[in-house]
Amino acid sequence: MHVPAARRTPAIEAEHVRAVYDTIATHWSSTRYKPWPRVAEYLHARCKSGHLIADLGCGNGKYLGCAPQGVVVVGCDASAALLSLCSKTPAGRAAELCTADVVLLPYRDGQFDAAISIAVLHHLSTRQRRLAAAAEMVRVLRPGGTVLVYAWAQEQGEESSRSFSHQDMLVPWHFADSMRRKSADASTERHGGAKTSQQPQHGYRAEGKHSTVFQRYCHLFKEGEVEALFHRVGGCTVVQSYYDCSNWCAVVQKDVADKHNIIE
Amino acid sequence: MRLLTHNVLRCAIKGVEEGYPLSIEASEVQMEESPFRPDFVKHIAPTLNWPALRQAVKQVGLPEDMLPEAVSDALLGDEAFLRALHRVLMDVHVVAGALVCPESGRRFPIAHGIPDMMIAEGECPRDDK
Repeated sequence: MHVPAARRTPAIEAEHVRAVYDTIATHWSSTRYKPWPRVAEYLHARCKSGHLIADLGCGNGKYLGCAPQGVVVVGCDASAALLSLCSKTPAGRAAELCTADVVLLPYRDGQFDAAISIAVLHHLSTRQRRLAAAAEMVRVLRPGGTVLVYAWAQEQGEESSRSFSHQDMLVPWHFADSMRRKSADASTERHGGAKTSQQPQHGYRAEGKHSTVFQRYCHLFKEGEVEALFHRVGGCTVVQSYYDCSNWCAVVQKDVADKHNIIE
Repeated sequence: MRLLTHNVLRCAIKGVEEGYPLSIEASEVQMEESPFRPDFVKHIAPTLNWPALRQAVKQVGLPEDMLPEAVSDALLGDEAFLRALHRVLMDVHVVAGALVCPESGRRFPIAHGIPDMMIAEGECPRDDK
């Protein structure tokens, strides 16, 4: 089995995902504080006291506090800037955190009772990388464990103001000048003033809006694409799929007969 | 980073077979008491890698005999044992230091309790096992 360069971060993700999130973390986080209700419901339904839960791509940690008492959540994200926002909240301090890449998780096989990966897969720019991430999500689950996956949909519902003409898009983020100062302070605090995170090179001024525009790379999923991805991975079963909050969503269960996860 | 998390973490860089268990080089360790949950400990105990946990206990400077050499069903009914295990898994926080891969020597720094497990470009394995 061969994964051609699936684990390497392509330049488009380095510039249009990681560098952007590291830069806009504080601003982005201030607009993403409210957990989506169905994700919180899943955590309550699936987590029992004593469970070890993985939040794969936990962002600013808005789901870390949604798991019931007596559960330990391990959150990871590729953005150190977002993780540092996690640790500012009580739920983030109670949780366990590490910086890690979802295409190559730093966990042993079969350790987690359940997992979530919310709005993460759509930032991976090739099918090989999305497959590698899906395989990793299944690998770290215990047999019988489930992962809830949300990926941004190309098909936008009536509630959305967006429409996507293509599956692979650069989606603009207006980074307000007023937030730039705050983010710079947070970055200095995080790195003790010694090291600054990677800045995106492509930002441009939005005329008359006191903001800089950064473009986030997104692969918009079509109906059935999340399921197809996990079907290709194998060793797991999609037990539920639905559309929610402009995302295609699936609950994927690792098969109890622990077959190898296959990627070609 | 709690020792529970340490028990799960591995090094995944190119050329490494197991990458486990990671050695702990702790420069700052904090103890913080948390509510004792026997159900949690009983649930997690069978999946723990016991030698890795014993090694971690030693490396953070706790007494080696805090945990027995092996875990048994009988011990899972022993409250004193469950309390000691809970303390090891949940109450020991490595705040600063590093995790070191036993095979490659790769160091993963820990700052503010957060291990940096990101892998650099040249370290990515190209083939899936």
